[in-house]
Amino acid sequence: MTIDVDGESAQTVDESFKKVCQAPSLENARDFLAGLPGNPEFKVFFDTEKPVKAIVVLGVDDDLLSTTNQYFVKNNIIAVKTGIDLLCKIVGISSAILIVPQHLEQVAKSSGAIIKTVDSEYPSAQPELITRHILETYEDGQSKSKSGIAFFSAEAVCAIGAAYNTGKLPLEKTVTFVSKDGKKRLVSVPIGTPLQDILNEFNETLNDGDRVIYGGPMKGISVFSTEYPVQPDTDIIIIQDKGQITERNDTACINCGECVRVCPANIQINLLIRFLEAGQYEEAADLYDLYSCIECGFCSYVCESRIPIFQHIRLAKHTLDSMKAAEDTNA
Amino acid sequence: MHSTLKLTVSHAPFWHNGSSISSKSRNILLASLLAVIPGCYQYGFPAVGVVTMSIASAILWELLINFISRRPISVGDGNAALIGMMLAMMMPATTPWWAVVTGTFFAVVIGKEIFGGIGANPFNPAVLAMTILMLSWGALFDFNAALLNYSFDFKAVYPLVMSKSFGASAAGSFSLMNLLQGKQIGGIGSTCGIGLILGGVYLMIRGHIRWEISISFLVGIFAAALGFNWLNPELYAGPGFHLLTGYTLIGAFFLATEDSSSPVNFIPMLLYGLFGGVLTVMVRNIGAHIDGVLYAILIINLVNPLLDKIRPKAIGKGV
Ligand code: SF4
Ligand code: SF4
Repeated sequence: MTIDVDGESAQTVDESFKKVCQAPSLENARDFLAGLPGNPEFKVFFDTEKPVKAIVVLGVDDDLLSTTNQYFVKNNIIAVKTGIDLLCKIVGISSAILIVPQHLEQVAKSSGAIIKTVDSEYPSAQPELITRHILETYEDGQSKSKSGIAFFSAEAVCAIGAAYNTGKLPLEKTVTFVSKDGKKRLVSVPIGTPLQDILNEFNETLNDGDRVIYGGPMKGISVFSTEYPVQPDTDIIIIQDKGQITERNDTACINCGECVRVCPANIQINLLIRFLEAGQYEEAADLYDLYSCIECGFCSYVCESRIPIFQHIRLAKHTLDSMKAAEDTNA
Repeated sequence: MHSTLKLTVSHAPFWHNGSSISSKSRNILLASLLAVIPGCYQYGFPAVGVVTMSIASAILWELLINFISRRPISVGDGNAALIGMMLAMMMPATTPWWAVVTGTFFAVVIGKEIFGGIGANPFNPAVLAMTILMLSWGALFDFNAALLNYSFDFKAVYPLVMSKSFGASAAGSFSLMNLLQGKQIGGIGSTCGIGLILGGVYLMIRGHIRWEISISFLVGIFAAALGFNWLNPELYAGPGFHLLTGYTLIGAFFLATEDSSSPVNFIPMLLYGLFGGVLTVMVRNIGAHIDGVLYAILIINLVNPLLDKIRPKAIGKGV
């Protein structure tokens, strides 16, 4: 369904874009298309140290419950194809790789891209894992960290295609909306729509203590206000009732090992977490594989002590990164 | 527009599989009842007394430590109660109250809290405490002497003493079926083989204990006992006897599997269990002690951190 906020069609006609859209190029893509639905990133193409070797289009969703990207592959493979062809042309790469779940393999074939499937089990669709497991066989022995890979979501590719073909910038974001009762609905809303408008549309009321999540249950962020707008990469919005929220706490790790057994990155989280809780981030990074983490959130999901492990991990990475940035500027 | 709505804000993930320490403790306690209830039936009120005293005093010790160290009250997670239960299961029903209370002190305070509380103990607290008790007041835990005043409808001799002193033929005088049904003397909760096995299987299926450890421990016992028996069938009892006597089953399902002192990776878990099983039989057959389970568990606890270094490389870390 579509939510129309103010009656206008959700497209903007940008006069200066109209002028350049006849001659698609990386430069004008970067300048005009960055905020399109699906949040396409063009910056990677301008990194001279890591030339882009491959374009990977994600016809899979990187979090549970979300169906946005699969939706585009399933229902609009022609638009995906148009977008991919255009993208390949402006980047100068002969063909792209399209990642889809197994059940969409047949549909995806008509896109003309190289098809790779991932199984539908979370977290197989994480870009990091795709890079590691799927592209491993594809690339010719070249070390992956050096060769750049540009990731685009299927939705972003469609939007890019539409932008150049019509000269208008599409603004309709496809969002999976999950209400308190667990019902999933796919809605199409203009980017920037405040949450309240969507809530009104579905007659969903919020009370104190409820939680609103932008992004999936594993990797999203919770927002503090119903005025929060839909972002270019908001694939899913989840409303949780207060009663559905599991409290986290700061009990120590009991060494049950559940996290270690689910971690797709083979991290010894039972040891790592002890350093993170003590704030010893450098040891965590040097000795306990902090940077191998692909941020899937699984460890927090299974933790018997209910430790917010994922939060500790992100905080540690963030702290180390900002320390490093500060050092670099002082140097 | 200003709304006064207060939403919950927190970090991802927003789902949890619902597991918790307290539900794990609850499940293990329930499973242990399968062995403890038959034990209490066999030994009557004194056994009930030891079990309740042990659980209660373990909880009180932990409360006291919480209070002294001004840390949040942690007895709600059920871990102290569990330690008390494990200790009581190993004790004879005749253990005097002061020995029970001293035992839980060793377990909860020395075995766990001193190291930083739950998850930080290098040894299984109950095993550590029981070992200290046995070394300090050996006579109390000589099952033959302790249970002298009971009359049973089965042979009232501690099976491991028999095999140790009189060799395999003495061991042969115990029928495996009787042993399995708990018709043997021993700790309150360590003799009823059927109950321990059922409890263990339940815990393995529910994932509260790691099956890799329990199974490999039993395999270790079986293999080692078989080897000894093959070398000298006169002297050494067969695997069935070793599997069903002493602390073997409680060790495999309830003691060696304690979270904090055991490995979490697959191969280390197997090695840990195997090593523990083999060691147990070695102590029983050629060591100075009657039962080897407790020593074996303390030793595998000790090597656990080393074993757990055998693990798959984290991704992105070369080969
Ligand atoms: S979030 Fe947790 S489970 Fe996922 S890769 Fe990182 S450490 Fe492993
Ligand atoms: S799941 Fe939690 S309690 Fe268990 S080992 Fe991992 S961090 Fe520790």
